Amino acid sequence: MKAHLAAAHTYILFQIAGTTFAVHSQSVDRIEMIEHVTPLPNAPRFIDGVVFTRGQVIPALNLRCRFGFERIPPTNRTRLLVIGKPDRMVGLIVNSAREFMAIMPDMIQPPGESLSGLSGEYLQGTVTVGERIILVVKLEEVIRLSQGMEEIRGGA
Amino acid sequence: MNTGPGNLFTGFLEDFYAEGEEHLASARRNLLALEPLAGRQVTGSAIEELLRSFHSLKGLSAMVGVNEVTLMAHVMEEYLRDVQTIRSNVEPAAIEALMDGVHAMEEVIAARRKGLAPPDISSVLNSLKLTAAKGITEIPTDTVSTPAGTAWHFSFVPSAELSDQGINVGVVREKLKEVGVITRASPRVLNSGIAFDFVVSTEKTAAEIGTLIPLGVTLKPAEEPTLASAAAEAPATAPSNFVRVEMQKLDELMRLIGEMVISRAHFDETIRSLENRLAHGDFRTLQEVHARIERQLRNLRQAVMQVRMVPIAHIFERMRFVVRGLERDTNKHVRLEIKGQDTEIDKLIVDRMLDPLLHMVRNAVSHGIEKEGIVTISARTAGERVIVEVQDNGRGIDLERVTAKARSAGVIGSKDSVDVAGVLEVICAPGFSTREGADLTSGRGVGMAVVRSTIQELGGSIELETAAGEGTKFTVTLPLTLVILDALLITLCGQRFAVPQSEVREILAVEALAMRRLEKTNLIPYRGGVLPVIHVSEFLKFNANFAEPQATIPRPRIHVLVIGSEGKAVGLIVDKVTGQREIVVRPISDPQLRIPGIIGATELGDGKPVLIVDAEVVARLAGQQKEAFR
Repeated sequence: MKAHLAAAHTYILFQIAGTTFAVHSQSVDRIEMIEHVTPLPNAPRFIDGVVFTRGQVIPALNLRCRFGFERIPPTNRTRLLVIGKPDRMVGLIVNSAREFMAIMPDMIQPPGESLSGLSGEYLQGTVTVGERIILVVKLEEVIRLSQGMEEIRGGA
Repeated sequence: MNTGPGNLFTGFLEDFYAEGEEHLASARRNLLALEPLAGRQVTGSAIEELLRSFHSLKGLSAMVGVNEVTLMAHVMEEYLRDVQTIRSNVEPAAIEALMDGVHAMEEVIAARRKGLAPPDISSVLNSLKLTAAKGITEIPTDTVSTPAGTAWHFSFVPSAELSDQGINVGVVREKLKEVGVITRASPRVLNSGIAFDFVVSTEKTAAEIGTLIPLGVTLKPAEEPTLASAAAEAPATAPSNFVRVEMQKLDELMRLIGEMVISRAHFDETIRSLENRLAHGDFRTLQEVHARIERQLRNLRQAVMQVRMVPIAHIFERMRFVVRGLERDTNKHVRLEIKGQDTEIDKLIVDRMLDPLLHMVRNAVSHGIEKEGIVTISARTAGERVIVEVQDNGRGIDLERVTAKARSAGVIGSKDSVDVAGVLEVICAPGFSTREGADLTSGRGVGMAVVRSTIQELGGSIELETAAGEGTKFTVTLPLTLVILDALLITLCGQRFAVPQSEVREILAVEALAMRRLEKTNLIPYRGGVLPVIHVSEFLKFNANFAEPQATIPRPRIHVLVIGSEGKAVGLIVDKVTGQREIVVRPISDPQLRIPGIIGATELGDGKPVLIVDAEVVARLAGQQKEAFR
């Protein structure tokens, strides 16, 4: 009867534009299918709109857009990662989230110089598993940064 | 009984429902209390209270012509009176029959309330009659033990004149309760309308009574002699400090407060806009007054919400009864544990949660528990929300069976299978039900789909945990209170929005050709003058709207919402006005979602958020933007 994926150091993997990202499963409250996002007019640039979860209205933050790619319409593999903070709940729209992986802390390499651009701010580091390169996301940063950009309204 | 003046009778019916419900609840409670004593000699308060409930139900239902209830209540009362007089044992079968009777009464009343044909009660009535163990050939109109005192006969003939003075049968009945104990009440059809007869037992003198009874009531000593009182002690009619209030009146109160909340927001904005135009001291004073109003309004709102709060025990207690019935129907042994039944929650939420709760408890017993087990229902408050859990320690949800069923119902693809994470989604899908047809326990077949949509409409959510061999738990999160307002549903840029109706003065449909342009402002003819109109859609920018772009197709007619006060009115052009309904407002609290003009979201039953627009703010902001472009 475990409700949450609470095992330590388990990461949820998802793809964005062909790149694999990982978030610590502990910060993810749950993963939902995206049934409907209600577009919110005049919203910050990364916000697609709002969704209901547990009766609460929460923002649906488009991670693809957050990472600098253009928006694409949702598919049936699109998922909403619900990040549950005590003070705040945020939904992250990702292209797919189907894999879990146990990652040891020492497997995470700090982001190199080459990654120190825009993306460097929200990366905790990289993990290499065989051929695969996985980027580990600093969730707080993803959410906080976009909060700082609150003033940047989309569209105009 | 249809001869009575309509509105009067309707009000009377409402009274009957409310009071009937109370008596039924009390009857249920006492039957459950009686159950452990089955097969033994029973005396004491449970029987007395049951007698009182059935007797009242009989009187009430006779008054409004719900004959099925009258018949059943009568037989039940007869039986219990015999039990009481000859001090016989109460057999378990008798308790079952009584419970069936109470259940049947509930169904009759529910059907009546919905204007449906009452269910067939003949089998229930027969088993009740068997229980009463004597053939009852006719129903006497009156078999009452009268409490001490003199019986008086009152009759009341309602009329339009009396009704104008606020005197209706409900008022009369209340007054008569002040006079004494109403031992009989029945309607009588007259040539010209209807009369209500009451027999009231009181120790007051005629003169005293005279001062109490309202106009239009006649009085004479009752012809029938007072029966030797079987119950020596008079029924405990404890003085009550409670007032029964119609929910509608509370709703109206909430609506008025809702309007005040919106006005307060406008007041605040107005004050802010004056900052540079007023002397500093004046501005400060205004701000302080505003802060005080805000605080008082918040207190007022809380106080009214408090009035609407009732303990969830109202519906939890009912589950005991349901589980009992299910136990019998399924031959399972189920213990129902109830926790936190004192948890208070909005009356509307409690009422609306009855069917979902019923369904989940039924599910737990019929699908979860195998031979014996425990079903726990609990409630607790967590911040501004109430968490209700329905848990069983049964076999857990059989994912393979759900998968098979979901495939055949077309809920999932023929290759897909259902896992723990997805099972809630599947069982809540419309058209999914693991048992074909209506078996004994699946009841009215509400279905999990309806359970979930009801919960969503209330602003809540449902979650499920299940594990094979360990059990299943539904967790329902509900708001503590509701803010309800009347809203217009509109379409803008192809998207649904809701606008508080209190903001909209008028809805116009205007020929597009009638629109004129003056400099940068569009004008339409309005009440002999002109009204500036604003294309809201130009102001609303969406990041991700993958829906078909609703380009500015020239329409022959445009729809305009008229906003703002006389002289300052402005029109908002919308795509369509699709309807009007009462909505439950859910706040948008996330800092990233504070968008001027969007005051909240609501849900219309399909799980999709619909944004609530403050039309005045949008009109003003759109106007300002326009000015900036000049």
